[in-house]
Amino acid sequence: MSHLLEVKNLDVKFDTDEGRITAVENISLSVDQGEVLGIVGESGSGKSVTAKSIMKLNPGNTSYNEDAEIILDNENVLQFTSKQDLKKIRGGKVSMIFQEPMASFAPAIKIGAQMVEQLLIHKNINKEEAKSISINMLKRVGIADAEKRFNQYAFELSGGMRQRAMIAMALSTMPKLLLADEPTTALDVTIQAQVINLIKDIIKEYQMGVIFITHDLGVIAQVADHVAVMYLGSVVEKGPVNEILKNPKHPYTKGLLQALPDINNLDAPLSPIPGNIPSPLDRPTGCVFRTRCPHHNPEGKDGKIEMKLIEVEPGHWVDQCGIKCGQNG
Amino acid sequence: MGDNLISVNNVSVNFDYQENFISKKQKIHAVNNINIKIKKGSFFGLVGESGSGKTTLGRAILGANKISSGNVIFHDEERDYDLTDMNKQDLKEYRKKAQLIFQDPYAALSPRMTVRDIIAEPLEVMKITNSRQETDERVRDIASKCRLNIEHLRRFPHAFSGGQRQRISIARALVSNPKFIVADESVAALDVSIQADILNLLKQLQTELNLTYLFISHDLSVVAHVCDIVAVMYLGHIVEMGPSRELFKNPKHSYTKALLSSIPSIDPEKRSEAIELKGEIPSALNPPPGCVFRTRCPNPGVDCKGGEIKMGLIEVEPGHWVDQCCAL
Repeated sequence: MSHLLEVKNLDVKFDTDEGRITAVENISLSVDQGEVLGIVGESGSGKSVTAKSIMKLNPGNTSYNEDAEIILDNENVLQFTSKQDLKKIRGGKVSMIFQEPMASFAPAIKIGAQMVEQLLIHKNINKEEAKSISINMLKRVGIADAEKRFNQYAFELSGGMRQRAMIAMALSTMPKLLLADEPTTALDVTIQAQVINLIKDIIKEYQMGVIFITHDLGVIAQVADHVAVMYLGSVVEKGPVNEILKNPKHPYTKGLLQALPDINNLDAPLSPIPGNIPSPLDRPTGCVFRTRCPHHNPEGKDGKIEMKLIEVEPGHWVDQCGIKCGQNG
Repeated sequence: MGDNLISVNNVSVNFDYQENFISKKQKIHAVNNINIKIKKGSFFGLVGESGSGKTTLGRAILGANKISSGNVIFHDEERDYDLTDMNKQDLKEYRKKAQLIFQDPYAALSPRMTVRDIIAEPLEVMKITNSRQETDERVRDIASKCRLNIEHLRRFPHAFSGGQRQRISIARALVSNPKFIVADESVAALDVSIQADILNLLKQLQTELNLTYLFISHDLSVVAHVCDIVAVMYLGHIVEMGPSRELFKNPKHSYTKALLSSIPSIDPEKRSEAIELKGEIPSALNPPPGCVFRTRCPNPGVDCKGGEIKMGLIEVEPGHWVDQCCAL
């Protein structure tokens, strides 16, 4: 069976005044229907850039490598150039939910009007039908008084409700793939739990593929089926969620887990990952994590080991330098 | 008062609110009748959702918000300061002794000042030091305590990462040699790996400099890790308070229980055990009468559903206080 989405050997580079920045290097991922792929990593690790590439939403100074492929529904998105083709993916086959719902709704246009507008672009329907689809969708995501909310502005809703409206809007065109970029980060824990449950129900109901980006490993454990751990533009470890969280191999994944305060184990010391994430302008050669790796092996330290994922268990891939370091500690 | 540094007695903070100029003036009850004692050298945690009044309470204790009723006493070595009855001179003194660390290290630092100037500014404004040399000495001293590279003091904030910037904000707060620090969501904007580093730094500085913290956060697992005593706030009220281990092991209030269960577990096999709270925090303009949590409470009793039980903390175990609605 072919995957719903397959990203192969993707590099993303930005041309800036200070030089060419490698934001993402040699990433391969796949998502099936009804599956949630979680992408975790710190800020600056290239999670959002990867997601945006799928909709070709990166800014004009972006360049992709020639042999990269992003196959969505048997079509290579990277070769789309005409507005017509791009429209098909942006909001049609792929929808995106952002972190800050206040910033993603136009402040001076009613929520209903924004929902109807995108439906009219992507579906061959009239205004009345679009309105009823939108109101039903608002009801589906648990917004009480959907008719009233339809005629309100984004600032009139609370944070949790805004995020629900955002999800309703993203889903109303029935996309095949949903990109959720930190959708719960700005929310309180109780509201976050509501939104996570809502997203999980909806995935089951509509059988769409989801890429769920977050820096919170707890959220990943709750929603994802597969996880890819990113660091400085590279995937350092990927596999089934259970395997990654219970049996991490790469020192970076281990470090992230150890830095996380665990409420069930208050005696465990919090151990930060030493150092800072390097600037993408001077990306280390070889293993990208070697400048901060606590258990570096001699060859890895000099940058002599190239980045390459190796399958250590069925479906569990780890960067080859990380395997060696992981064994050291 | 012995070993307390701060006593908050029946403090309420109200704000006036008027929707537009012809409508009636209303009151927002941001903080209601709060009583807390913060012991010297303790790490006091304040948790709750947005809109629960944690920041307002923190600012009230610093004298940055007007207190509508009740008082806050700061017990210094020689004398007690009453925040509601302070002249300008006292307020200036108090500012040296109580400081705030902000949430967002990107917004808190002026992009046009060097790190040295940022850290030195409180000393100059409060006229603590007499010469430039003395100022420089204090800046260097505190910067090295906060593990900043002394050679970087001449740089501007944009050259630093989030974690380093937060260390600069901490150095700025600590340079006047305060005794009491309010840390308002100070790690919320940081990545997990750096968050752990800043938390460890705060702990280490506490022992080194004899600090007392009021640590405001919405993240329960962080609070559980660093704080000795925790108060849980909801809609302007403290609903539960106690030693953090006791509170997190043995939560009594339904809100605390729901909050704890909402933390996403790192174990993929433990999915959706969350006690899901319906709806959102009500508006502070017209809070529900009686127990403020009853509109979202998953298991309300007959009495509290009608709003007949008033808010009030009772001690269920030594030092562990719970709102009476849920304690009964």
